[in-house]
Amino acid sequence: MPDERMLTCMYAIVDYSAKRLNMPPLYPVAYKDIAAVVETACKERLAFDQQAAVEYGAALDVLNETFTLLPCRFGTFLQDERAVLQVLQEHYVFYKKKLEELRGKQEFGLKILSEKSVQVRNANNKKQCKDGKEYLLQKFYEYREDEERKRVNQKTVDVIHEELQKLSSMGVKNAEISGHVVFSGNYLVEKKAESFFCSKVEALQGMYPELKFLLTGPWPPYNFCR
Amino acid sequence: MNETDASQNVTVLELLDRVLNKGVVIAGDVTISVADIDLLYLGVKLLLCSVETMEQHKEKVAGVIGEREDA
Repeated sequence: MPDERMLTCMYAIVDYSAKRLNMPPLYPVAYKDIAAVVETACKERLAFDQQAAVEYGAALDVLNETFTLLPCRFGTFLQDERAVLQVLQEHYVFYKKKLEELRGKQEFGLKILSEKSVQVRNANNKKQCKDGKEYLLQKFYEYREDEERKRVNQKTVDVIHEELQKLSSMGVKNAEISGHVVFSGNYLVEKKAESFFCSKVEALQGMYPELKFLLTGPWPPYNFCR
Repeated sequence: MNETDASQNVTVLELLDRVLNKGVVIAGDVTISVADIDLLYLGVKLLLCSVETMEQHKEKVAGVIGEREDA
């Protein structure tokens, strides 16, 4: 038998003091001057696939054009509007403070890749070792080479991060990097400074042609709302 | 893959990373049922990888129950 239970899906918490929402089927659940943007759906009709996640993100992008918002993580469901209201009441002070901090700002993501960060050592460029000692020595040199490369990359990306932090309200480095990615970070940038920030990234790319910069955004402030 | 496709893929991956891993987390998410088995809904990542498996389990369980009833 299909489950007819209704769930309320939360998209974002927005500053609802100036503008009104007109984006059906999304609607606001307001408390004082903030509101949760929600959608109600029958549980049976909920989708949890990649397309649903992408559509969710696209809706947040549209909301971000009109409102200062705190995006909710995909898959945030509450029982009903009363539960949503309760969340807004309980966390009003925090949400209000965060919305004030984020007013007029958007997020940019930057990943820096280096082809040289992972040395591919195939059989062709590896010399044959005549004994165990030579093999261990070769391993040691390879290790030293990798460490030196990491050190140089780290120094470079630290300089880049510092430069970009100066142009943003906040910049955070992500700890998780692997493979060719030598840096991953997010920056909260004033809307009026966006083009300057982007041109600075372009200029840095020109200064470090051995690295590949991947700049994405503007995004709603996913990394700055907690 | 050309540069435009690669760039679109990067954007989709960045978007998915954000909507699935970042943003405001609200405690008190409800328990929802997948394939008639209630799960404590901790995060959609769990569901993304488990829905298919749960559906398979459901089919298997239905099959076993059917066999027992026939016997």
